[in-house]
Amino acid sequence: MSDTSEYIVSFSGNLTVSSIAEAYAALTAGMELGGPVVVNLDAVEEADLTLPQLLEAARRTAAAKGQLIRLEKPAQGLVLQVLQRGGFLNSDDANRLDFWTGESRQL
Amino acid sequence: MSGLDPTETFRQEAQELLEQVEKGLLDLAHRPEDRDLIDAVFRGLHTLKGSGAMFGFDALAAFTHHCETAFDRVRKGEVPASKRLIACVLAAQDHMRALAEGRPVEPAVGKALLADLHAAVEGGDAPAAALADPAAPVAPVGKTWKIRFSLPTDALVNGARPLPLLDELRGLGDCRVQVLTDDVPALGDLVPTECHLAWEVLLTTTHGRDAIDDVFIFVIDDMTLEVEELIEASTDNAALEGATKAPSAPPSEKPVEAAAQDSRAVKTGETVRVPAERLDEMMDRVGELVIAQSRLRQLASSSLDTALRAVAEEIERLAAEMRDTMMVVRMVPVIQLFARFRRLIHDLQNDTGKKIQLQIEGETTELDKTVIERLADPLVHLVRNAADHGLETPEERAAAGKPEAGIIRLSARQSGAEVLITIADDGRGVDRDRVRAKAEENGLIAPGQVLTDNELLNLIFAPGFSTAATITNLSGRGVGMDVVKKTIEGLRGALDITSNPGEGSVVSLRIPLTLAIIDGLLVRVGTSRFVIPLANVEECVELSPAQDLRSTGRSLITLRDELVPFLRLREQFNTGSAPDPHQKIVVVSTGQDRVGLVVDQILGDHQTVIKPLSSFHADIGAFSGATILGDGGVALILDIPALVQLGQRHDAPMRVAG
Repeated sequence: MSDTSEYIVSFSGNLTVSSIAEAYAALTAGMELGGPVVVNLDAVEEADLTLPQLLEAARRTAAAKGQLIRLEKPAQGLVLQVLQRGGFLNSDDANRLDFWTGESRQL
Repeated sequence: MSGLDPTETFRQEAQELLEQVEKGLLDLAHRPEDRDLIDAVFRGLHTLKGSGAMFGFDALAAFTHHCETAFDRVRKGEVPASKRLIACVLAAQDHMRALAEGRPVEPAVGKALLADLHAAVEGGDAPAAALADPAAPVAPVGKTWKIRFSLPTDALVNGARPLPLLDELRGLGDCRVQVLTDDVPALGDLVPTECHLAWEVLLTTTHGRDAIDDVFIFVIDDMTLEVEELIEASTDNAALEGATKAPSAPPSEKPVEAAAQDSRAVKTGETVRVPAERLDEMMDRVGELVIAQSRLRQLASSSLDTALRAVAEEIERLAAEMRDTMMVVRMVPVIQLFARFRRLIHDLQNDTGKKIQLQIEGETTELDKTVIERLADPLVHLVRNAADHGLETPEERAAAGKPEAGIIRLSARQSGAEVLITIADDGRGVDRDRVRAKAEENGLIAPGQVLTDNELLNLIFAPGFSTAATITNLSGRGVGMDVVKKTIEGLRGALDITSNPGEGSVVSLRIPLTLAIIDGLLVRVGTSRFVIPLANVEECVELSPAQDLRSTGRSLITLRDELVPFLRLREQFNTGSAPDPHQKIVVVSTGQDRVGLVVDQILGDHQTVIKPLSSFHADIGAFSGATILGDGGVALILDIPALVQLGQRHDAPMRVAG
């Protein structure tokens, strides 16, 4: 459920080391607005570790500033695969798990 | 010197683990709720499985896996540590021991044991076929490695791909990968193409460390990589998760693997496993050193060179210290011997229907490792004998006004250079009439022959003697008490029995602390020299010519109002020389018996390194070994129990007559 004041950043296509700079620019621009940011990953066709690293940096920065950032939908498909292969979902960090999968889990 | 055989190393470790498990199980039978005991049994089984698989004992690992699983359920509180379950695992443990020792086992036996185990866990009777084949391989078992790595920040730009590295690690075994994001900068500071991620991986694999290094072979130059072996572990997910969560778990809930590692670390730090033959070699070298030192002392004593004498004294001190240290190195507490009797008593109760309480005293008393090993069989026989023949049935005990549970007490205590071990029971005691009847029947004594009570009781140790009406599977195993006695005497020890009708029996063993070196009293008879073990020497008195004349044909002296028989070693050994005018009597004892040994001269104390005799000399029966003296000569070491027995026999008719 989107809030009307949320700023939506939609990523699409390849999000790998060769193209992550564009995504970085778009996300930074959205975050600089200061309001809640929603990231849509539906159209991502390819991803490597630069994508979760980027969103981890954004998530932690937002948390430090008290700003809201979330995924529009829980990670799925190939993004979910990258997260799983990269060990992002084996963490004891409930906030991180909540961010990526949308469900808080107590380990 | 050859290196350690890995298989033998595992067998030794398996033996210790099985003993640890057995002790835990027996304790658990009394304290089934004790978490520490449950954990200890589980750990023992877990380590045995892991080590077994590592050393190629697959059948053992597979079989132990089932026992471990059963105890894991106990650990989790899913099933109680019932007496039935404990009995099943104890029985299964014997099977594991056979597998560890490489003895042939019947697969059907393993299946039946597992069926029992399954039934004990599930509380019902499960058909054996429903269980996994005990010989079937279990999930791969290996080592668990903790791997931390990070790549340089420009790695991604340069083409490095961490995800395939992680996939390769997963291909080596069960893997838990966790990304570490602590170094990821704030969004504003991030260069999105740089890599600020690191990883911690827990990998359980049967592959070696090389396989892990191979994963990173193309990026190793620039990256940081730490690989740490945690401990061998199963691929059991729960175990792996436990290991993963270790850092956040409270200390009291430390995972089993970590606890096992801790205990291993302590053990490794405190002890070093050394093959017994290496200790024997060292003892031989120390023996030669003592002999050389003895020669040096003799040379120095006749020299005026003060520097030489000083060095000789220094060497003497060092040799003595070396000898003492060497003896201590070989010492192990008798609990290693006594511990196995808890299981024996447990089994004997089941076999006989008797209630038996085992009491152990002096378990920290130490004995030479070789002696302990050779004592095991005789002691097992004596304990079996006490349970089978000594103790009454609960009904008989109740009728006699005794508690239903009989007591077998094993105790050990050091007494000088000897250890006194006693096996006591509070049973019916030895039936003298039956002993006499049997001895007469076997022709061991003449009908009506007068014997002291001690002599009558000692007939039990005569070859072929048995009062058992029927041969049972406990004590009637073709090994008589005579073999027990022979073994004890082979250890230069002595054995004695006392018994009171209706109150029980006590078998006492006096065993030398070590078989390699003893303190002796060097004596001369004619031109020959002999060593009397100092532990047997009670006192030395002079045999005056007048006493010598008076005692001719009688061989008795009075010591503090007590008659003591004596033997003239000159006559025993037929030295053929005239006696010295001032002969000495060395009074020696074993158990309660004393005898005097007449010698020409007492030369003094002598640190004696025992060398075995040839079979010809050994057959004479009066000597237990030989030693080399400082001047290169040889002295025979007297077998005191044999001589005391001889002296008592010579004296017997006189005592009866007197």
